[in-house]
Amino acid sequence: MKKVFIKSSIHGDLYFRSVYDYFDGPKLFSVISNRGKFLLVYWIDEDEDDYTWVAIDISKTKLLALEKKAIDIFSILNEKEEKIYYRIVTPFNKNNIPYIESIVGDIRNEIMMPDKGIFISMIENYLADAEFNEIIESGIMHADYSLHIDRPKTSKALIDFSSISPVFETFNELFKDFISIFDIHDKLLPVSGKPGSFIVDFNSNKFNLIESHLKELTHRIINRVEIGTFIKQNKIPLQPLEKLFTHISNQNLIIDMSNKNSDEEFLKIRKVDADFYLKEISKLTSLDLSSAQVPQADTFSRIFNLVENIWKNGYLDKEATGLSARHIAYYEDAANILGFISDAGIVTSVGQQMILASDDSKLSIAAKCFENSHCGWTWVMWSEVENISQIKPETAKRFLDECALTLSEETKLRRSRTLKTWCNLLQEHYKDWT
Amino acid sequence: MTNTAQEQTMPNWPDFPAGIPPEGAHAPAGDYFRITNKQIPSKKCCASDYQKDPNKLDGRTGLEYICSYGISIQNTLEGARKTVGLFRNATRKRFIAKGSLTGEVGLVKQTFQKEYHHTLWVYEGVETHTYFQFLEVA
Repeated sequence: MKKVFIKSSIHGDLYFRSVYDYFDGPKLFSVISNRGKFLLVYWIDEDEDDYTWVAIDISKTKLLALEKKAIDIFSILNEKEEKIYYRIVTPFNKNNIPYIESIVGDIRNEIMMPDKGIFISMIENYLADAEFNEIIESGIMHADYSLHIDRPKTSKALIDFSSISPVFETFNELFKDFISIFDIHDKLLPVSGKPGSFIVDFNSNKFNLIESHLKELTHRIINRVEIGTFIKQNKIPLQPLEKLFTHISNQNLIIDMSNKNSDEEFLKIRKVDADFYLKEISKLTSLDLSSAQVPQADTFSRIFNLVENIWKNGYLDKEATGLSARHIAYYEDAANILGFISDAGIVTSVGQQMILASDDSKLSIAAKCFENSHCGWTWVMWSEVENISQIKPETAKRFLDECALTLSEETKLRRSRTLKTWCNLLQEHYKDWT
Repeated sequence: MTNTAQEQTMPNWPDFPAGIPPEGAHAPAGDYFRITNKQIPSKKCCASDYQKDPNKLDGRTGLEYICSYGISIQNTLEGARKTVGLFRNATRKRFIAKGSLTGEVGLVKQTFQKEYHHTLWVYEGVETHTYFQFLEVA
């Protein structure tokens, strides 16, 4: 029999699939979402009004291993497949709304774990095959979120592709940069588009992580209070946010986003809002670095060789670099940061000049290119000096701490070493042209 | 003893739906264990989900529904300890109490797939918690 555990603001309806333990009610069970995702739900607390649970995303393979008693309950919770888990509060009173939140981390840090070596004691299936298929089929068009792009009623201009596509790109960038803080990945997957103004429904497993921040940001924007501190504290990626606000302002758009499971509109930005806040955001962005803008490739000769390799072959002969795939990516990024190759990997005019220059001049060109890069110039601005020759290389880590908010501590340590190496070398070859 | 006298001493069931307790439930005779919230078991410690809040039963069917009018107990200390071990966090502030139960309390039945898990349905007016005494911290 189809029976709903909760209507989750993250997943939509979650249906009981199988119960694995009973103690004054089902206390360990699996549920399935409309989108066919399995979750394992485990009881962690109870008070006068509510039950509290933790839930994890679980693959069918691992769930079957649990059901066959090939894996114990401790291990299944301790070795979860995703970095996030969910905390769920279900009120006894059906008039109260259940609460669910995503948490990045290990369950063992929040609760006393079950003893090792305890396996499930029963499998009581709730769903017949036909009901299971019914849930999956009805969920094909299920969407958790909705993005609405519109213009004020006073505007007669139609919304065309040029208005819409930058919104998608910036939202995608904003979300990906944000979750990269936690070293996790996810995709925004469009489900359906509706004509009219423009509405696109989409799904994401981890969008909930940024949802509450966007809600608070909207609240602050409505009340016209300062947003800079909130943005920095919560590590909301500034550059995509600036792009989004600029686009809304230039195109005279209204953008709202809602959670289709909870029917809550959690983001709304109009041109007047964008105009009001763009100056504050731009000021912050001038001292902000994204991951892609900070190099992680120490050896300049390798950067130069990679650019020459592309120039000679018309493409990058990866074998000839003698580097691993991961290091090739780092050196491509470095060449791109310096402006020697384009985003598409094509050698630029300054890249060609570098190739044709003498060895010493190559480093002088690199020094000027680094100064002109977003990373180099942000370091100059942050250091309150006039050019990169005046930067103190030992400030690299502190610079990243303050300006690269979305980088993890480990990444900042690694990249600060690169920056320090670059700075020490390039300062020797820097030529002040002013 | 007359029939009338016998009827007067027969305990009554609370206003349970039909089929509760289920067939096969029998008078307990021996030691059982209950995980309680308080060291000295309180009325609430031995309340069924139905008694605590009828809303808890929403959506429950079959045996789960039937058992919601009773309480989960274990017939071995090992069984009680295993339950605690499985739900360490939820039972971290709880206790294991032991009770010697007889037919005057109600009826009991082994339920679900763990041999030690039983459900106890109690007669009207029975103060279940008074039958249980603290044994150990969960």
